[in-house]
Amino acid sequence: MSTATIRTSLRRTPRGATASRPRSVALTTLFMAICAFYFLLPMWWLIVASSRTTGQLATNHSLIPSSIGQLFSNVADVLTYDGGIFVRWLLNSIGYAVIGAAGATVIAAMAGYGLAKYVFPGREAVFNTILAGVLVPVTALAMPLFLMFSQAHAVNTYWSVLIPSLVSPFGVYLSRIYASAAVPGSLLEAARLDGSGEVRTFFTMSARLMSPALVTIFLFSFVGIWNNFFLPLVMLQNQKLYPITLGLFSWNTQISRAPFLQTYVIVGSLLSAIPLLIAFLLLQRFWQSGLAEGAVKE
Amino acid sequence: MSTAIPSIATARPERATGTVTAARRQVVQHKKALAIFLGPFLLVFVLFYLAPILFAVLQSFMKVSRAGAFGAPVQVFGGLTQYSAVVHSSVFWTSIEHVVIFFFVSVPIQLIMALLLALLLDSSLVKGKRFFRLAYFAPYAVPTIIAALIWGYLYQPQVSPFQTLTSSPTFGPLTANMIYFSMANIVFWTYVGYNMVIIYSALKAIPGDLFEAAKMDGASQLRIAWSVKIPLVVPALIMSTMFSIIGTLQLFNEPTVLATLTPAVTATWSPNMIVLATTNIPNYNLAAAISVMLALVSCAVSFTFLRLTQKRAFA
Amino acid sequence: MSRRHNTKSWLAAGATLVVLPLSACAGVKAADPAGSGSTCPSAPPGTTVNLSMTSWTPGAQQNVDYFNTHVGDTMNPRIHVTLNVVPGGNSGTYQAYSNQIIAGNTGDIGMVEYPILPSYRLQQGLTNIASCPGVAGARSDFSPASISASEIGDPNALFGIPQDAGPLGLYYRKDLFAKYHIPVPATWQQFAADAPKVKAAGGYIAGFQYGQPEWFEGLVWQAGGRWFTSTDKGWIVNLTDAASLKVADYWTNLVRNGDVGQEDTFSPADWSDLGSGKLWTLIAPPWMSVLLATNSPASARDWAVARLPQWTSGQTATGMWGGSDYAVWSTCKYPAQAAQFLLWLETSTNALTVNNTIGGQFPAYMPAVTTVPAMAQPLTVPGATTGKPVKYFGDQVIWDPFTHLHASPAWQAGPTQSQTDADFSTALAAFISGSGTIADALRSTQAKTIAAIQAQGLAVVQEGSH
Repeated sequence: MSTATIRTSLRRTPRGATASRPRSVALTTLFMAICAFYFLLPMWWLIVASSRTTGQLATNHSLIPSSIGQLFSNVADVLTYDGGIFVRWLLNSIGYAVIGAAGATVIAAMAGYGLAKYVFPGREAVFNTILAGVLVPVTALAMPLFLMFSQAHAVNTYWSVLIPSLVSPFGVYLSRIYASAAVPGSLLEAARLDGSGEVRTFFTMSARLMSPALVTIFLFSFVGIWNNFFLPLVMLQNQKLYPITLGLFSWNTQISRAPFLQTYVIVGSLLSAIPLLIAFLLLQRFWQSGLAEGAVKE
Repeated sequence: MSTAIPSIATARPERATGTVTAARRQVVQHKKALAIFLGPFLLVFVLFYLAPILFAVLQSFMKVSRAGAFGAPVQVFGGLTQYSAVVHSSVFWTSIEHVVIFFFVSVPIQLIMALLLALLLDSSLVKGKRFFRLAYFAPYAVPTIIAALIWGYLYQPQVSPFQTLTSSPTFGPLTANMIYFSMANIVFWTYVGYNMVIIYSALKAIPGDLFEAAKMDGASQLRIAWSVKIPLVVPALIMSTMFSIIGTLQLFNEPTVLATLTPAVTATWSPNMIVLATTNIPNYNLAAAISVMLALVSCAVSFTFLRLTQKRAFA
Repeated sequence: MSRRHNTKSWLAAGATLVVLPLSACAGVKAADPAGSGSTCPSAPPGTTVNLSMTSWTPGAQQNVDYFNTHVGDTMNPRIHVTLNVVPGGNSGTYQAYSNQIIAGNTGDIGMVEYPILPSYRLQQGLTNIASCPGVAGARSDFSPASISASEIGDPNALFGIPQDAGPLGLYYRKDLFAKYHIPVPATWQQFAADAPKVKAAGGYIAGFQYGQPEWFEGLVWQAGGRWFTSTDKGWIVNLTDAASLKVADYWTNLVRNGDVGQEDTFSPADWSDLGSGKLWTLIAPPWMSVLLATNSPASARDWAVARLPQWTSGQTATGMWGGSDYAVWSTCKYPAQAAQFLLWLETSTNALTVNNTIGGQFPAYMPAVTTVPAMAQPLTVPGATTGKPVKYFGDQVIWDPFTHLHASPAWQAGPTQSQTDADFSTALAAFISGSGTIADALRSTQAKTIAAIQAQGLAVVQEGSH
């Protein structure tokens, strides 16, 4: 493993002649467009279905939106139903994901850094144990965690979902790889000579060098926690604590009793995709370069 | 602190900073920093990762005994009772069969498509790359359980825009013979973009001079893709496959949603659904045994896969 | 959120996690509440007790509101009740109860249908209120079957106060039986003899309700069957006793001869068949009355209710399908006040009238027949098209036949009744699709039930052998 030349810069080498094969370009672009249509269709359908009333859903099956006014009315209904529980779910999900991912990133980054830059007996054993953790299905942990939290009278609380989310073995793995590649030992030596403490060096210098990996770990954890369904399903009964995944699912189970919930589930699904879509748009640059580091293991 | 430190010898070459005593002194020097760096993670890892695993394993060797007709449950040592029950459970093996079939139906096409799209995006053949990249990655913004709900609606004739297909008694997505494809479609839709981005990033990280060399040798775009690009993204492909294996064995969200829509998917279709159903009886010991078996199978398959591809994964 | 979750607490939990199974090996037991001479904790006089309650009975909120404004303050200690309306038991509430029992936050009172009560006793989730003031005196006023269900196998205990009962009766199309001069069956022999005649007239005398295990269990109950018996040493499981086999063979013959229809209860097709005259009778409890009246408006005034056909002429036996109870949870701090509230709820004319008129409930409290005026009235429902009240059963007071039927208190639900019901339902589906007999379904269900009971750590001391 070389500590030299990190492939952080995206390849910008111009490719071959771009305009010499217009037919191939047209065909390929058409193919890509069809694929894009497939990937975007369900979200388009969400918009279309959200512009209808529950009754119209059963009769109108076209892919053209019906009424913008109805769309806004539906959104308003969803946001205010049951005391605004949907907004609460959205905030819960954001809370779990932001706090959980931030916490997970910090401790995983520190752990990976510690494993990468410092030598101590049993280091590889510790690392291998953590790595083995990546292979363990998270669902196997849910029941024992539930019993454990019951003992501490902490089940059905925010902590019961937040704390298990802080453990990111994959984050430690990524962080270790990146730390050993991006933070040269010489830099650390220089900092030591300058009198900077180890922890201070990490927070002021090394972390900055590791930032693409940190963003990757954060995004990876964020999406994982955002997606989380099984753990909250097991831990939570109070619907005020539900993340959006569990909330919409619980609405879906009640449709036979309350048919209007079908519309709410659809509108809610549309609304729930927005935060992450915005996050992706804003953080495009980071996740691309970060993922590159994770993929090309040096 | 032990006197023999064999781990130093096997560490990566640039870490071999000298003698044993120098290393020991180094550890002593930064002990406090190490504690701060490793402490938090190790604490939560041990408490909330290792301890539950250990607890599940212990529980799987126990069984419940009660006095009279309504006695309180007492955990007693059960030996292999639970594991025997799992091994003899046809429901369990059927669920394993389901996820294995699902793997082969779903994962190869997912990776092939991700690779193809990544290669196309990386080529000169496509205009508007940014748009396509975002469009393909967008499904990843939708939590998988919600993606299953959405596709569930698209599959139901009552609300779906695809009336002919969903109403068909033979090709309807909710019929028994199409259910694997319907489920695979949901997973495909959610993950192809994500896998594509990983592979694409790996492609972008290939140094340009390799292509210069190939072009000078007169290689066509297709040839370059086949002989240069694909081999160099194999590590990324392997990582994606690994996660797909682990993910498929843990399949829960998609069958849970589809179970509410069609009798083709029962409440015990996938191993994790069985774990939840068993927990709800409640029978924690049996659920623990099933989880442990599932974890072991998961680890074994991942490990074997990594072993087989080790040279290429860690090139 | 309390500040209990400090580091020590986590480490303690982690340590407990490892120690727990080990200490269990030493045989540490928790007490079964009914065993000891139970006490009934009461709040000090002059205080106010807040009770939390879950229910899905239509009209429950009305009753609770009335209690809080008019009755609760007249008691000493004062009682205030908070109602949590939840979905029906099988729509997630029973699962929620189980989770709450583990987490220790069940509240005070919960609505539970009779067959599911034993499983909560098994989960150590209930409080024995037998020794609470007022309970001993009120026991004999509730129907023997409902009290037996609330005793959960221990005649000296009581784990809840019965709310409604579900004795099976015979809803029948009086117009069709009259038109074709076919006698309304009073015995099962007559029922079987009438069946081909009804078929010749273009209908079915009844539908075999294959998706409702409790319907069939009610019929076995009527015949004197008893699937579960709890003893000091464990359970006796017998799904193949003489009565069960008799009922099984009877209906197997009817179904296989095509003399009865196959009814998918509560489905739109079913309501349509009941409205159109395809099905001439409906074997069901009192609570079916409102559902029938609401979902089959086409046949208004054509239906009447008679006693369930008997195996021996002149008897008045029946079995129950459904009926519910308010259980007192083990987390209830003041069972005395909970019992006091529940006794009011289930005996007061006011409350029982609301339950009956809004929810069509048939009270388990026997004196209600005379004390609750609604019980002497014909049933009216809003007309489907006009909205004006319609006397669906004409002038007949349909509660009468039910009042004269008696379900034996000997029947007991099993400790894993929902699992038994699910297995039996699956087995009946196989029967309906053409394979085997109902007796075969009983045998396979028995085997699965025994396995499920043993998986709970309970001993099965005796099992049916037919």
